[in-house]
Amino acid sequence: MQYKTKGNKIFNVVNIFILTIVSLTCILPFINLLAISFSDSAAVSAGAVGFVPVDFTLSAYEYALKGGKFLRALLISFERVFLGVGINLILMILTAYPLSKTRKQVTGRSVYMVYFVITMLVSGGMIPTYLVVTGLGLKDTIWALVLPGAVPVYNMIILMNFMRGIPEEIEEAAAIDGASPFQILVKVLLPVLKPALATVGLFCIVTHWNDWFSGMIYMNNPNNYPLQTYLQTLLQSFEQLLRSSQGAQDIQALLVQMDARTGRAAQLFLGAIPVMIIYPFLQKYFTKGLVLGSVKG
Amino acid sequence: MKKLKRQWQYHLMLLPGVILIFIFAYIPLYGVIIAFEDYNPALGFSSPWVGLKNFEYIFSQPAFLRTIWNTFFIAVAKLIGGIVVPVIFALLLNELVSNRLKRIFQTLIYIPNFLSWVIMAGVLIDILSNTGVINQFLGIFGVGPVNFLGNASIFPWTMIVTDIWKGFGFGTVVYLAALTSIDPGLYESAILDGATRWQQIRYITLPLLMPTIILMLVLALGNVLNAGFDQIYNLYSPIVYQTGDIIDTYVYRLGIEQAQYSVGAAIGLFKSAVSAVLVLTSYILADKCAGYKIF
Amino acid sequence: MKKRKKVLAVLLTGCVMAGLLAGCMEQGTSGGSSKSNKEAVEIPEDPWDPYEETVTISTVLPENAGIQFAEGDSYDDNPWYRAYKEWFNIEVVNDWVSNDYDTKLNLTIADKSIPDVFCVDAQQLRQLKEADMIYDLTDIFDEYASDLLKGYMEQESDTFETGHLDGKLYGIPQLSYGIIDQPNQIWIRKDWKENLKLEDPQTMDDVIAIAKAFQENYGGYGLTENQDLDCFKMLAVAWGAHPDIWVETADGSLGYGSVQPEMKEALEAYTQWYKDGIVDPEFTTKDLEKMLEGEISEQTGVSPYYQYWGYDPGPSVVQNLGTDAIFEPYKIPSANGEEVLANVTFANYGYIVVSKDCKNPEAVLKLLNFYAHVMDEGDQEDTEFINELFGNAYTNIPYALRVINPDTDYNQFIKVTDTLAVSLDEDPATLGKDGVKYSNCVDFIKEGASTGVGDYLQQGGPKSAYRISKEIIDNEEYIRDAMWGPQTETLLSAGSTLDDILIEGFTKIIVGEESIDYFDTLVADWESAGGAKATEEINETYGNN
Repeated sequence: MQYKTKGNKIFNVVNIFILTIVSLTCILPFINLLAISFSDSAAVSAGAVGFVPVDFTLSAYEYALKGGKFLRALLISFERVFLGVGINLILMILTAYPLSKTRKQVTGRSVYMVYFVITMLVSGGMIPTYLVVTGLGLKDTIWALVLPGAVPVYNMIILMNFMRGIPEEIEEAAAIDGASPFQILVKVLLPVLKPALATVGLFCIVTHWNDWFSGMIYMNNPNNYPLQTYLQTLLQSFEQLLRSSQGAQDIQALLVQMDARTGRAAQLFLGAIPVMIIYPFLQKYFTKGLVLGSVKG
Repeated sequence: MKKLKRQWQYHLMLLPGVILIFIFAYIPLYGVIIAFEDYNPALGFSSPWVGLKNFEYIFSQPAFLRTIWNTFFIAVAKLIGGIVVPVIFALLLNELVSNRLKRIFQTLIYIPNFLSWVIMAGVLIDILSNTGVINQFLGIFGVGPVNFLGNASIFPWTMIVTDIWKGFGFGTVVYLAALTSIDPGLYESAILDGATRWQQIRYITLPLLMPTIILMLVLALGNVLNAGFDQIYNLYSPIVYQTGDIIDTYVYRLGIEQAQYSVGAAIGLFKSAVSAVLVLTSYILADKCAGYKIF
Repeated sequence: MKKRKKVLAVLLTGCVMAGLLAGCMEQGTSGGSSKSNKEAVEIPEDPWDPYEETVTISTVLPENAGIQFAEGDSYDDNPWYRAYKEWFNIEVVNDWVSNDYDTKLNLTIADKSIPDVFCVDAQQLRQLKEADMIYDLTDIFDEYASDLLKGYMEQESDTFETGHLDGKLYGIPQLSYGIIDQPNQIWIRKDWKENLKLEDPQTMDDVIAIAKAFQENYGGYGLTENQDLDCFKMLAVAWGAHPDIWVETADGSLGYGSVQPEMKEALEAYTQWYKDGIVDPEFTTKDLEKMLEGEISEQTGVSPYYQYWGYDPGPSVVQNLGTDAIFEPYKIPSANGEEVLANVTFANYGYIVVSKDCKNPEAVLKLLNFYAHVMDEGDQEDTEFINELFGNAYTNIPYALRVINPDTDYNQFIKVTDTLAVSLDEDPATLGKDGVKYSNCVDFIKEGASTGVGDYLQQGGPKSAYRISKEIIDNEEYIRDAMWGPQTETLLSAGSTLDDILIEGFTKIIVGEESIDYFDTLVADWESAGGAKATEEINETYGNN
């Protein structure tokens, strides 16, 4: 498609050069952390670990994986992400579609819009939300983690704008054939919206995956913590112990076991790996050129 | 008649979302009244009414005003950089011929997003120290050492640059997704007309990207008073409070940890009001000046 | 293809509905301690006799990272809870176990689903009393507390008083393991000091001479410091300054130690040291962890630090640099020839409160008596039974069900060091709950085990932190925080911001951005930001005793 001019060639080389440098700066901290997580805590506490593990050890991982808690938490996280993102996607699609229409097409559209946007700006805070969730009897169930954030308004607005970008002709053709809005949404729009859905889907996955706070406040037993909450507790309690040894007669064993930083690094990897694995799969959709042109004719 | 039938379906689609939002976002909203109370969890929402006392208290704190300025400065700079940089990278990536390279770079620049600030701070403190990689590099050119984290006039810029660096992969993904929706036919005909690469960007890509850019900008404005608590909390120190202390870090030190829920709620309300004004203004501006309706 | 999508959509919509339904159905069962007894159970006559009928007591716990459950044990079923059942026929159940105890507890209070017995801070104590949610324990304590328990309260009568509101006992203070863990020391690297044949420091000048000698011979910097000025604040007592606590000032009223003139003197000397390159030049960007990194990577050999240096960074130092590289504690010497008094702050972990809905509040007292008994009179019981209770780091399971003997650590230190002085081959089991400390010290002395360096430097070693602190306590070389109890209103609502003003200003003075005279401006700023009001409140609440 591009002309093979000299200028173009130089541009391509420079472009790849810049992207390489920037990408490297992005990956180096990650390698550093990987090295730390596999290094002996003694070397880490001396600040001696660069990009290669020193005195290779798996102890930080063993510590985190010990006792089967990790796997249980991982399963809970998977359950949460599947359920949560599924609900997120359905609700986002269902709300974004009517809102992508004009005021003439959907009466009261602006009212709906204001209704949703307000929730992005004001929040009741932790306590009243907690009271609502417990009032519904959701406390200590997976629904407490999934339902309060069921409609991610921010992502829904992004999706809505993607929907607006789709040429009207596509829908009109289907409408003339007698398709109902539901049918148009499912049969015509969704296939075209794959990249957009992959994008907002990724954001939803990351949000659900990384949220540790709601697990902390809604679960009554640490055995029901999702992964990030569990990993957070490993970290936090460890740092609490470090900070206040006041009378805590049981810290020394832990302190010797691992350094806070190796623990953190291991946590990061264990916690991030599943999302990082998903990422390339979704990416296929980001870069795949959209086939809008073919519909036009 | 037919139109009404279609309408009915649209409203049905909205119903589940409207109900869930009502339950989990609107019902809890009554909780904002604790901003006007001396909240005692045991007494609940009928705690003693104190009117505007919590607001007066916060604004009477001498250090609070500087945090407002710091928050605005850091947030606005992050906002601008957080738009410009990802757009540039989305364009650069889009110009790559090889799809494989494109995918690799895209994955790599997204990686910092997976690292929390707690983790990243540890790495940055090393890299940015007087003997760190960056200062060694600057030393080659006879510059420095620059005290990136301990000098009050440099600190905010360090926050801005590292935040943009950490987050630009996210924005790039959004813009790339938007770029894929541009009809390739437009470029084909432009090339036939002899347009250069720059002209294609200038006259096709950018204008078509504009709605997404404005959308991201307005959405980010709603967040402008959250200048990045996790980042700054993990990187700042008393010597840079003058320029680096933001509303959230200050309020945190005011004792939200010690369950000062009323003060927290008052600050929250103040922030909501400011972001509402900003979002509304930008919405109107985008509508009047550029003709884009974001919502 | 299309069909599959439709099915998926329907399925997921179904999920949402099902979830909502499930939520509605469960509504009735929420709301906490439904397990507790509805009616009071008759109280047996002998305080150590079991109830005829099982009494159920609900409580809540923070999660404890150190805990290593034995096979079959859990938070809900462990030696402590089994002993309660066996001894008293009391069944203790956990409403929840959480890693964020404070937040979860506040939510539980807001939700009005509090358990029968739990542990709160001073603020929550007051709030619960205001809402009339907790028992007045005055009579129950008088009637059912054992002599042992009452003895603790007599010993710490000031602290006991803080559990009273309007003259009635609403929260039983848990007290603490003792103030022996409060004094700080100067930690000096052993092998460097020996290699250079340096004497033990007797004055602050000696300390600086040692720091300089280390710098000349081993490079790096002299003294550790971090961005919160922890080290400076620990050293300040050498000038008679008492940062972070409330003290009696020259005119007899109470004032904040950090803004008194002695602090200015300390600051002036410290600023000079920074200028001379003795204090870590990069301290402004270092947190505690980064500061310790400097010790492990041999940048420095002198550090003012807490008594637990041996636990953190001790093991890392031993692993990286060997047993001779440990830092040893020295008493913080005087800078001006006057007596040095250590800071001692209010030592109370929390208050035990009992819900008004609890039908058998006396059961809680029985469990408190039990804890005091096994803790102090454990040698009357089977050794195995005691070891089971305190093994596996189970110490913190009776979280709300214990009042701690304020001499625990003090007595432990004497027991451990006395035994070490006699023999290194004693059977640790004979020391009961203190056996682990003893055997850890032995491990370090015999094999240089990094797992033992903490206990060795805290207690067992010839130069140990508690050895110094015991002397300080025995000779009463300490000054108690005049604020012996909860914070006053202004201090509560200001959080740490008042102290931050001072830390920010002190740092500016130390690094030379401001001259020492800025101290007076700073004090004025502090006063106008709420310091003056706080001082007034403190004098009102804690003054004129």
